[in-house]
Amino acid sequence: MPDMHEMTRAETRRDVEARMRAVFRRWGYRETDAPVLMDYETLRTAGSTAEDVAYKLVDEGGRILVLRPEMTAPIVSMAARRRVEWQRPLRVCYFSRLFRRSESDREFFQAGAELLGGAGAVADAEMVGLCCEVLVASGIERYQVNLGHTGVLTDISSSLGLEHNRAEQLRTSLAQRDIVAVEGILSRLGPVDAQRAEVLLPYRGALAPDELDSLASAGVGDRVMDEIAALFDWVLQVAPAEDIGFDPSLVRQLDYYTGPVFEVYCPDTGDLLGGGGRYDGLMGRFGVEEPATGFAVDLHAVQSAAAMNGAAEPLEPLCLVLVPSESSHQGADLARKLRANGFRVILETAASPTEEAGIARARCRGADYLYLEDGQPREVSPVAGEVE
Amino acid sequence: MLFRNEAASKDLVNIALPKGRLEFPSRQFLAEVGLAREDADWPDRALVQHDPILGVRYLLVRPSDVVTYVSEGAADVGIVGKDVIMEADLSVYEVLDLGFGECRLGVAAPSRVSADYPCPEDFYRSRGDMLRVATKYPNIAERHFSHLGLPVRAIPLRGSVELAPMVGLADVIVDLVSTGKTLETNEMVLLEEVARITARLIVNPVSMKVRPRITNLLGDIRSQKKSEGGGARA
Repeated sequence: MPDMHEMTRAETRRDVEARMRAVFRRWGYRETDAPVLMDYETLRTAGSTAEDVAYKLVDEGGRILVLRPEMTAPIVSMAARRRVEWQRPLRVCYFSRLFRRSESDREFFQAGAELLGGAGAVADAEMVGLCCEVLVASGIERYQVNLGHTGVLTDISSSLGLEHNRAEQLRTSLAQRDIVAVEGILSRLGPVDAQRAEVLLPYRGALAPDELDSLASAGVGDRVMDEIAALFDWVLQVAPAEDIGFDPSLVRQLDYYTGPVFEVYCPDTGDLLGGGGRYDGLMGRFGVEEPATGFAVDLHAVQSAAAMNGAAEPLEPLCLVLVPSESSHQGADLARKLRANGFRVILETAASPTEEAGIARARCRGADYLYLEDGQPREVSPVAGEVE
Repeated sequence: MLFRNEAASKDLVNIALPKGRLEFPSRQFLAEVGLAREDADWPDRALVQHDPILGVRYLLVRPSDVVTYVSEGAADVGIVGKDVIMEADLSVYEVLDLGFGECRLGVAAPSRVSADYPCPEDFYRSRGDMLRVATKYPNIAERHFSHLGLPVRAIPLRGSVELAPMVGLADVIVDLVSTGKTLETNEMVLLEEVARITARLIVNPVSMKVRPRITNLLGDIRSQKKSEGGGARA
């Protein structure tokens, strides 16, 4: 059945969501949602870079609305308005359909969590740990976590004495992954400075905890170095060391991050599974000064990675109850009992069905058991050589 | 999916090469940096070639598709003109300016109508409410003119863009100019330059993070190019 995968995509997604939901719940997170049609102003206030890629429309009052391109801005705006009722620290998670102007995936699914009012390395590490556990629960066996920190670029820029415009140009080029432009900026520095700034280039791979010194010599200040060390310490409590490294070149695409950030990749499928980080400035734009951190995972990427490991939840056995139409009453009764016992049941009628015809029909339906009028189960073996 | 996984497990590097004018210099570049053999014999019309000893697979694709192959991860690395990268706006690392395939991306118009205006902007504004731009690069064109605050209508064409202004389909074109011969033949002039174009080496963002072989290869290529001093420019 070639299009079965397509047809049941929602089912496998719900399955992955259910496993994730259980993890979120165990970590004390409550599930929230936000309107699909959101106020354009909310996105503007958040200064979200997703603003450029949002679908915009106008309502009957002339207000501009957008199809929500991300969940953090609407959650933060709601939480700012209800800062009294929603006690802090606030732990919320979501499963959402998002929309962005794009030629390939204009509609996509995200799961994520936000921890509002949580400060320090403990909260940052909670995001990394929760994200990893959510991925493992979804059936992902191999993943790689790259940690980063927005202070690396800021500190290096200022220790190089880059003026504001140049520093901004460097940040944009790194965010756009335009290394040719980055090298152009570095080539205008003296050889010593250019050499130091090379930690920002993506060629070295992620650093282990004992290799962090190279950051300090590149110009990263004590405060950021301490934060990175503390984050590493905590993160190593929640995830295996060989999968985690510090990546000085990591720049997240959304630009409201203000501290530790991270991304998780799947080496098997070559996909970015998710990521997140600290965004302390964002609440302030909605009138409440408080620390905040969060992450999101791409459900489609998670589904493909999990499917490679054959991690789909096995379904309950399927039974075909096949009775003559004059006995439909008994058939319905039997089906009800079987369903109550957790089986999946299809009820059909046929004029005086024989066992042979019944088995053939059950096989067509993909059933594991056949029940005829006598109420006895008959096992249905798939025909040898038949490809599901 | 299986294809990609199989490749990753053998640590094979998939390289997307552009068919056409960049193909030969691209292969030369790969030979220079040890990612292809000097004496390699490239069979005609083969879309995929495999060098098991070097651990490299070459995918020969349309230039405009190279970025897609790389951003989707079907190829780890690709070689493509800057024009294609600018138009695609997809997520890839652009790591090296290879220096070859040099040309300009510019705005051009028929000389008989544009010659009377002192600067390009005056000409654009004289064309009515909406400047009509015929181009293979609608995204670049819209971005360029919106920087000037000009409302435009991009008319996407696949080729022979010069024809559009002659038959009244467009006011100007945005296209690649290398020698200027084509413009001259069609009695058109270059009004302004949008960007200087050369071939670039691009890399899939996740391959860059999870494949040490690729990161090391790129680091080596960078050092090699730096010590040569010329050739590719940063």
